[in-house]
Amino acid sequence: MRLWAVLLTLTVVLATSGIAWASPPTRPAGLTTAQFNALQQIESQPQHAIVLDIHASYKSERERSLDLTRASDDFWTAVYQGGFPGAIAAILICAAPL
Amino acid sequence: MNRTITKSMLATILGFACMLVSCQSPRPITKHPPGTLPVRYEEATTYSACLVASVAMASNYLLDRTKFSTDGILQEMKQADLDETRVGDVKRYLAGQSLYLVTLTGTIDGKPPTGLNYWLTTRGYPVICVINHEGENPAFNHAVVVIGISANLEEGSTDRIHYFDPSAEEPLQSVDRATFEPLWSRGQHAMMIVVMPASKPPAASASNPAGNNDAQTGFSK
Repeated sequence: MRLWAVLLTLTVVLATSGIAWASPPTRPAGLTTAQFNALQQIESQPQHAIVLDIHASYKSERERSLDLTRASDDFWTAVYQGGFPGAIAAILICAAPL
Repeated sequence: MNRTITKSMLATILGFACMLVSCQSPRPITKHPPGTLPVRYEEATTYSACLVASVAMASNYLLDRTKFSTDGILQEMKQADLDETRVGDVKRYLAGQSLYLVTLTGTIDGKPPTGLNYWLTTRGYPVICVINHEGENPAFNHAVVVIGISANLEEGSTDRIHYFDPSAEEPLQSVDRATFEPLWSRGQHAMMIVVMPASKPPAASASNPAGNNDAQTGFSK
């Protein structure tokens, strides 16, 4: 009985709380030709046209340094991978006349 | 004895298998908050691929199928000699895919079509926003996909803005309006929406082909 009372109270509290969730359409609403043309006109205005030249990439200095570290690691791995066989080949070539 | 050993071996093997599977599976999205768009998360495979991953999310949601992936777009843009971090280049790439990237500067509650809330709640489109956590330095402009705004009618509390960050440990971020606004402001309030060009309306919205349109102005609330 007490459990039912608690559940009922909880339901009432949740139902009457001030939180309201927006309910968007289930699928994106298509654009009419008039809307699409209007959008393109608006986009061509200078305050909107600047968006085309915006770059988006790293969120923080940490991400950028991690990417640089990864690129550096890739480079040195390639150097080592190519370096050892190259060194062995060079030694063999040099040692061949002997 | 032998049976015990076999069981323990089996348990160990199963444990390793579970660890391997969990290592390879993408980061899970446990639950979309109520009232948000059910956009499928796409991870940025490199830190600089946030814009491409965001476009992949928005495009897949529009098409209602997983056509685009971050790696796929990156590869195709590289072949076409396009910069994956530049909005204009991504727009050009999408044009080649019969999609259109609307590029605007907006506000949260602005008039259509520059209102973030309008595109989300009235038209049902996820919106790609450029935000910046690192002050005014544009090198740290970062693209995210806003999937919903939950209004809170209680006095003293603010709306929550929910977005997917393609390169964050926790993909789903929820911040209040006061926190989001300065981040977006540093990204010059740039907002992008992936739409179908008007000649090709999405099949899924056939029941409401025109949406909330106004024949005179093109847009209305």
